[in-house]
Formats: sequence, structure tokens, C-alpha cells
Amino acid sequence: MTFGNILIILAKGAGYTILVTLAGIGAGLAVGLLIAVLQTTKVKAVQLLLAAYTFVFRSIPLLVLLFIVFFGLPGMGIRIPPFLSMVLCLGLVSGAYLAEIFRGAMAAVSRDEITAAEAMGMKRVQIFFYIIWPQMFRMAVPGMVNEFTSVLKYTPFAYTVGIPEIMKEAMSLAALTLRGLEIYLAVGIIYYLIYKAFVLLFETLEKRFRIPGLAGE
Amino acid sequence: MKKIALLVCLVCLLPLLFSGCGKKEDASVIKVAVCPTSPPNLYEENGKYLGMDLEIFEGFCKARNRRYQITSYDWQGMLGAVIGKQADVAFSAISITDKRKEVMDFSKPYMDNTWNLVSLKSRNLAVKDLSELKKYSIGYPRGMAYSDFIKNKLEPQGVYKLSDVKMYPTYNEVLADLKNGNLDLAFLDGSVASVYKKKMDIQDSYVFTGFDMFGFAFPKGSPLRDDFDRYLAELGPDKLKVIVDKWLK
Amino acid sequence: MALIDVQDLIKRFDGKEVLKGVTMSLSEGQSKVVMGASGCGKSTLLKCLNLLVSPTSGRIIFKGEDITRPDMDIHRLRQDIGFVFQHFALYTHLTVEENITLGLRKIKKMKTAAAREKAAFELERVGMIEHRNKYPAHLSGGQKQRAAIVRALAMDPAVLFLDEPTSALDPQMSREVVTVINKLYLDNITMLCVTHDPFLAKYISDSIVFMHEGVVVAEDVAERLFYEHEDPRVRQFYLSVIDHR
Repeated sequence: MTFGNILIILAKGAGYTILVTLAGIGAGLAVGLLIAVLQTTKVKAVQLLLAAYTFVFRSIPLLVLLFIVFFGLPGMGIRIPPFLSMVLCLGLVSGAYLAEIFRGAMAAVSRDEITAAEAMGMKRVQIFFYIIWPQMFRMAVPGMVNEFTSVLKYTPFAYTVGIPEIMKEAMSLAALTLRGLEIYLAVGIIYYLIYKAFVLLFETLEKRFRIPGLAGE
Repeated sequence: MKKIALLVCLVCLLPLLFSGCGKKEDASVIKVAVCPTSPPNLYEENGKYLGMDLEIFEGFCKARNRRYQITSYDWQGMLGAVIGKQADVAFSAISITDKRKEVMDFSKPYMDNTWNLVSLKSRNLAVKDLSELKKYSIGYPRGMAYSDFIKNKLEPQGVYKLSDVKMYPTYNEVLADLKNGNLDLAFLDGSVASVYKKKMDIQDSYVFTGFDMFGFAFPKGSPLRDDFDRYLAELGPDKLKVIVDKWLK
Repeated sequence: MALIDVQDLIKRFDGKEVLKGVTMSLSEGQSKVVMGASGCGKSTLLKCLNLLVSPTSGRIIFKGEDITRPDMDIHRLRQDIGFVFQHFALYTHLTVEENITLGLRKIKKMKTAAAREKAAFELERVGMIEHRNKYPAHLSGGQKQRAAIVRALAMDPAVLFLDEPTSALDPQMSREVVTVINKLYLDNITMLCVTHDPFLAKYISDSIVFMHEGVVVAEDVAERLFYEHEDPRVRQFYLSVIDHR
């Protein structure tokens, strides 16, 4: 078996890796945005709750969370399918990080512009959608790319709950051929390629939507 | 700007989309958890699951007219799946231990996993009596159960001292050193040894038995376990031995 | 009937009284400037009038309606009041044209094409049409303020509020902006401008309201207020700001 063969066999798992990453990013964005928006409310109890959330989910290791969700919750009668478990955990953890990134970016949106929008007669929601979000997203790009990269690097845990991603292919192949070094080297190469593709995608998006005067890079 | 908003919304919806494609659960199908890194008991070749454990289990399913569906996990995940009842049964050379028995039920043992001291065939090294062991160097990766065995069994009898053992990071290094002649004996279990025997010219110099039994793992209180044990009894030790030997040879 | 009628307006911030009973009015087609030393409450007055700051007590009648009542629709009110800020407050992520059309499309619900046409018309008026596709970061201060004025005007407000529109600008750019506001003045746009720039005040007002420590102490046309007023506080203020220039 040549190194090329190894790469091809492992690439079978890459589809799941990308799928888990994308879905994890999606869930993370949804959770992160929700928290970032809720954080703007001035209700003390909500703020406290969100602070607790970000604190807990930024400190809990993903694998531990995954074990709780996938292997622990069934004991309480809550059964969540593997893919959803993985995505849920990724979303909960990366959402906590993204919320912080969004909060910082939102704080960087000029207070004057928000006042101007209020003075124009815009409603809160409109101000959010037309003034704050477009600026916040652009300013959050570097932080977001960082976090998305972490999500990619978390995906090997998906195999723990039975999603056949790259690591699964690598481990079964290594057990059979005993050529661990080459196989895990190939794994590294594939992860690097996926990582590079993600970064390229975001660089293109960032360039496409770049606006002078807004810090993106 | 609209485009960004649309993009963000789409990405946020992704997880929902994917989760929608989950397979329907069918209670009559037995959900099997495996860890395909355990040849010859269970492994994967060209996308197909193979191995001794699977052959035994297929026999059971045929006899009982049941269907099964395999999901592969990593080692922890496979055990977790049984404990958490995500799977109805797990098999992949799982040793029956007291610790595991606290959280899962095991079938009757179907295979005695030997502990083998192997050496290069060219050395023609046979240990006839344990007292000869002192003359040779023994090696295995750190963290294996052999350490307890040597310390608690061999050391008191004056057979071998744990401090004389050469420790390695993985079996790759152990076997490389064996090949180079820097190491006389490598300690491995029978299943792992059977894999290496296909790749290298090695032979058993001494075999310990009765320490490590493999069983099929079931969730606590599983009725499937009892049925499976009945099947093993129906199969009988002779037919079982034929299957085991076929995969170990 | 006056467009805006303010009666005994009081505003307290944490117990400190910033407006101590302001009474004034503004008629349709009229342009007034509010002057006074820093901290006299003139900016707070302006922000009370479109409820960016909610008054503590007193009455504000806008188009015959008391806007201080609790069930007032503040979004509808603000749509009727154009607001120009000292620091321009253009939306950083939008071009000049998009800055103008955003309100037209999202608040006035105009179609994009119609909104762009409207923006082009208004930009032409202030000599900014060639900059319509630029982002705020690429504009000079004077250009930013002109764009901000157009953004407010394009909504066809009943009145235009200007909060220190020239004080963040150097003299050259300041003149540029004064010229534009003067043009609006000559077009009889209803305006209420807060400033301490006597040059601007003179060229854009029918009359000047002079505030001191939270109350209106004088109101008159520029010439009389600056040169002939009997209140020493007014003369002193004029001398102090004229020295700056």
C-alpha cells in the first residue's frame, strides 16, 4: 500500500469531518449570536445566567461534555442521536467562545451611529440588523476564523460517539497494517488541507465584504 | 448586506438540516457497537467489518433470525455506548474485568486471550521453565497490565523483576528493538501477536493463559445477554473453538 | 400655530437639574439657533425634543400633539425630525448613497430605485453626487457632514435638528458646511440648530435663543443679540466665542 492509497482511504472520512465542522460552526454561530443578543438586555438575572453559561462551557472539555450528552443523558431517558449530540456539544462550547467574540465586536460599533439610527426612527430590531450586525460580523472575522479552526480540531471526538470521520478510518487502518506513523502523517496532511480550505474560504468572504474604515484583519 | 444575513442564517440552520437526516430507529434491529482496531477479533478491510467476534455474533443472529446494525466507535466510545444503552451489544476483544462488570453485563467468555512472550524465529528461543526467564530481556509499552502481573506474580516468586523490564512508548518501538536484537522477548496478548505474526518472523517463546477472558458486553440487565449465553451453550465449546482457531491461526 | 412648543421643560440627571424650565417655540419655515456656554443645557434640550432623552417634566407640543405623554409612538415622532450630529455619525459600513437610502427603504418603505433617485437628487443639492459610492472613511470631515445633512433631509422631516454641526471641523471645512446649511435656510427649511459658532448662527437663523444654566435668558435676531443686548452674560458669551476664531 502506497502513501497515496493511505491518503485516499482516509479521505473517505473527510466528508464527515467537514460535515461535522460545518454543522458545528452553524450551531456555534446560532448559540453565540443568541447569547450576544441576549447580553444586550439589561435584565440582571439574564446577564448573570449568560455569564455563568459562558464560564461553564468555556471551561468544560468537549470530550467530557460529549460523554455527558451522549452516554450520560440516556440514563435520564433523554436519547440524542450521535450526529446531533456532537453538533450540540460543539455548538454549546464554541457558542460560548463566539459569544465573547461577538460581544467584543458589538462593543466596538460606534455609539454615535446607534444614536443616529435611533434618531432616524429605527426600531431596536432594525438597528440590530442594519447597523450593528453588519459591522459586528466584519470586526469579528479574525476571532471567528480562530474559533472555527478550533471546531475543526475538535471533530476527531465525533468518532467517540460513532461518527466515521477521518480518525476512525485512520485507527482501523493502523490496526490492520501497523503502519501508524505514515497513517497519522497522512491524517495530519488531510487536516491541514481542510484547514487551509476553510481559511481560504473565509479570506475570500472577508475580502468580498471588506469595507474601508472597519477593522477586519 | 442581505447576502451576509442570508449566509449567516443558512449556516445557522445547517445543524437542523443534517439532524433531520437521521435514520429511523427500528427496535427489532440489534444495535452493535464495535471498535475496529482489534484484529483478528474485529477489524475493517476495504470498508467491510470482519473478525472472529463478528462471525460468532452473525451465527447468533442467524439462529435467532435477527438483524443487526454496526456502528464503529473508538474504544471509550464503544464501552460508553453500551453503558449508556446507545448500543444493545458491544464486541471487539473486550476483556471481562471486575471494574467493567460494575457498569455492564458480560456474556460467558468465548475466548481465552493468552499473554505471549514472543521472540524472533531466527533466535530459536524457547522458554521451557519460568526460571529461565531471568536470562532474557523483556519489553512492552508503558501502561500495560503486564506490569501488575510481573510485580504481583513473578516478582514474589523470584522469576523476574519489574525494574528489569524495558519500557517503550508503543509496540512499534518494541518490535523494532526486537528486530534489531536489542530485545529478547516482547510481551503481547494473543490477538495482537497473531497480527504481528503475519508481518514478522516471530514465534511464541512462552504463553501464559487464564488471565484474560474476552466476552460480549451488554447493557446492565440486558435480556439479550441471557439469550446470547443460551446460544453459546447451544453452539458448544467445540464449534466455538473451530471459529476461534480459524481466526487466530 | 407653532410646529414645536416647549413649555416649562425640566430635565434632571441623577438629581442635577440640567434644564430648569425651558419655554420656547419654533414655527414652520422658521430657523432658530440655540446658543450658550458649554453645559448650559442646549444639547440636552435638542435631545429632549426628539425623546432621545426623556424629559423629567414639562410639555412638548409637536404638530399639536403632546409628545411627552407615555403612549407616544417615538419612532413615528423621530421620523419627522431630521437629526445632524456633531461627529457626523455616518454608518461606517455603508456608502454615502446607502447611508441615505437605508432610512428611505427600511423606515419609509420606499423601493430601492426610488430611494436611490431621491438620494441622487439630494446629493446633487449639496454638491456631493460624485462621492455617492464612497465609504465614510474616504471622505473629509466637511463631506461627511454634508452627507449626514442629506441623510437627514432625504427623509423629508418636518424639522431639521443640528447639534453643533461645525464644531468638529476645521475652519475651511466648517465654511463648506455653513454654506450648505445657509442654502437650506434660504430654502425656508424649518431648522433648530445648537451651536456656539456665532458665524454659523448669524448665517442660518431667523432668531437666536440664548440659554444660560438651564434657562432661556434671551431671544432675538443675531445682530441685536450679539452687539446690543443689555444682558451682560450674552455679551460676555459672544466675546468669549469670538475670541476663539
